Amino acid sequence: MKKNWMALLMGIVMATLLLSACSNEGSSNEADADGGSGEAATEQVLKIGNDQEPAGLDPHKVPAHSSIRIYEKIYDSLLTFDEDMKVQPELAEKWEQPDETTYVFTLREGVKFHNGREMTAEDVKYSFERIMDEETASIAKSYFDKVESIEVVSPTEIKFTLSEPYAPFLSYVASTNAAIVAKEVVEENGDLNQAAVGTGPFKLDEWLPDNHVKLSKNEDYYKDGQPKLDGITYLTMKDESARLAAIRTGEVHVTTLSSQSIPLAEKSDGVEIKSYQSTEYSYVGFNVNKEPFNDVKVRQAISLAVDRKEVADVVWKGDAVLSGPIPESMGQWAIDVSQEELYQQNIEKAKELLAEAGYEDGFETVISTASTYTDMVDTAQLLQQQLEAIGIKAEIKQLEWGQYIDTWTNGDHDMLVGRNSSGSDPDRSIGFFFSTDGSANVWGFSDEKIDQLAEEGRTTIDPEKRVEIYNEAQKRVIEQTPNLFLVSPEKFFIVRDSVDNYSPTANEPENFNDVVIME
Amino acid sequence: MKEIIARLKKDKVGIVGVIGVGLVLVLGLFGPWLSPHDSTEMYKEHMLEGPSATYWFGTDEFGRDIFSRVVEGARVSLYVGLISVGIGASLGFVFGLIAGFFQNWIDNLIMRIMDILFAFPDILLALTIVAVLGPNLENTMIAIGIVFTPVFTRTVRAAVIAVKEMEFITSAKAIGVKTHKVIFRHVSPNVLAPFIVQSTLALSGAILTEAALSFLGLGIQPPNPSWGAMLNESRQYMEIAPWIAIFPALFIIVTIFCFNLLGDSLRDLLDPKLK
Repeated sequence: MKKNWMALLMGIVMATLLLSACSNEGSSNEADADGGSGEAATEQVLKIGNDQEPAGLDPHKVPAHSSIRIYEKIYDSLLTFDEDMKVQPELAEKWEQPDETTYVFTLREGVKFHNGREMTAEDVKYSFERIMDEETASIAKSYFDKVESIEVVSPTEIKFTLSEPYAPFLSYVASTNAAIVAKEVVEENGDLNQAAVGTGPFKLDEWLPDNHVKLSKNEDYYKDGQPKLDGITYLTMKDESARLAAIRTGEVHVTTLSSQSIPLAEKSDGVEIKSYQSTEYSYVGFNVNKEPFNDVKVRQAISLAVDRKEVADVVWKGDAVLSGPIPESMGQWAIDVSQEELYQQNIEKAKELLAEAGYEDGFETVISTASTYTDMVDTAQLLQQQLEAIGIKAEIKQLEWGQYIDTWTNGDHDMLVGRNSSGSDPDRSIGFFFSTDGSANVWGFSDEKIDQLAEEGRTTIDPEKRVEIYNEAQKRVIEQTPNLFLVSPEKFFIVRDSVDNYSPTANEPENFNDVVIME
Repeated sequence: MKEIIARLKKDKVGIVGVIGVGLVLVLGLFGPWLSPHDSTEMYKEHMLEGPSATYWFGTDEFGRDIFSRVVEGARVSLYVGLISVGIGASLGFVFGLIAGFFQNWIDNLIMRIMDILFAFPDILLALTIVAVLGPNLENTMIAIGIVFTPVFTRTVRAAVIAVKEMEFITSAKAIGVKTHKVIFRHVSPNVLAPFIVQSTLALSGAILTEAALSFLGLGIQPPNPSWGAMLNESRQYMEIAPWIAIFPALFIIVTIFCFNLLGDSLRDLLDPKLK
């Protein structure tokens, strides 16, 4: 039970976790049109309103978003993701795979840590061993369970040997949590929660608890001409209205707000709302061991009765797109669900299916959801109303967050409205959530075909074949409907007009390497 | 009784209270006939619209009619208020009578339990009870009832202690009237005055507590409206659609105010010292 809970927790943070900085494609000059007078300001320090105090800065240990957004600027990993969620080189210049279980990475030469020492293959070995060491209690430990040995071939070459073929491996190497750290700094400080020395574009200057974290430019950053800023200051502002006020008055340059506050921010002068498609999706989980949801026809009927477009329009005010098990922002992995038969609202067909399942008069049920998140409560209310059309009378039960997690883990619900994140590897969306022994399969769902596809997906290395496998798996999951996948919402950054060259994307929402502050 | 009504007529503040409470009662009792729309019907083409001829108080984020929801909310508030005060008052009345009359170990036991209950802030205690029982309207009423029990117990006990020393009780005991008869026939009618006043005041407290619990998502479950739940839902739209917040808030304020006015003037009326 506890394990599942942890799995969910990790799941929630994973989307944000697995995004590391440093690819500069995709940054555009569109901000030029509406921003500033075209003169760069003298003070190039970007101020960010952070919604939480960072909980420590150890990239191997801390899963909190308030920490990730800071340490991802300080550290690099061997690989990173592009907008299509394909892995790209970062500290590793290239990699080879001589056989299915061996990976050889060639490191970029001349990359220096913030303390001036050059990064070598020994540091890579040390970093991964630290992650895999039980005592570190790293959140990334399970990513590398299949790693059998790590061998330094030369100062710029390192070889990983896995115990069996494991396709998600490269995605996990690209995770921010697989950051390359310097051994001497860990030894000197015990851990990296307060001290931070990495190879990233910014280095840690000062951390004043409950007030701010200051980063300054890494002059020796391996990408020439980056970063353009002199520094970034994260001001801790837990209160949403404080952040709203700060961005309105220009006290901060960038901040985040929940989608409900967006209309208010829109009304203020000098700020711009930048959105990106998140890797999250909202869903309804069915308890497939409980009548009537043990009948696939009932689940399909509900899928046909639901108007997902209306969920996007009413709950997210239009700022959301239809989603399958893998949301659109997962690029190459996602399938276009808009053509799926079960996504076309069809009340007649839904009623027929219900009748075939023996519920021509519908039934009564309970929709559980978390009172903490208004979007979930709103989704539940809308579904309740939509399901009335096929005779399903649902009662809504709002649960406090702790109770909600318990319900989720124990599976003592009928229908459960929630929001999941798809992480960075499709294995999460299929194997983790829906294979019979998947650690987040709390629905009691079991399907041979999905188990088989999940296994193939994990062990097939060829990327194109993997895409095919996951396409098929998604169609099967949609057809079996253990969960009803609804929509994937956008996320928002509120940015002052003076901030130039910034555009958030799902793979790296906060890449400030090219950002310039204008007058 | 006649005398009381005659004196209430002279009490202008009291009349305001009576009229206000009366109006809320009418809203609560005849709500379904008064409201122009179904309180849970979503008119999705009219989301977040301001007050108009069709939607007198505007619409919320689902396009539901705020006026109909406020009216339906009045019903919920009254229902919760009456039932939960009923629970708290009956428990408190019985406990208070027993504790006050005997003043022995039973008194000690009852009053210490009440002290424990009293030690918790109202909302915290209600929250805990609802969390244990599960969030729905019935459990909310039970929780509020339990929260209000100590205050009734104390009020009644204090009155009983004063009454039981009076001569007519002593003489009743002396001629051999059975104890339970003494308690219910002779003591209890004489403690009704403070009890009634307390009940009126508690009603406003109960309505407010229900609003607070619903505001926290633990009271009535959506889509059914209650004033507190409506306020909760309105939070995120406060600046762009203030009417969603203003109307339920206004009704909470006015209702509580009227109940308190009524309670105050009842206290003055029923206090023998002010005759």
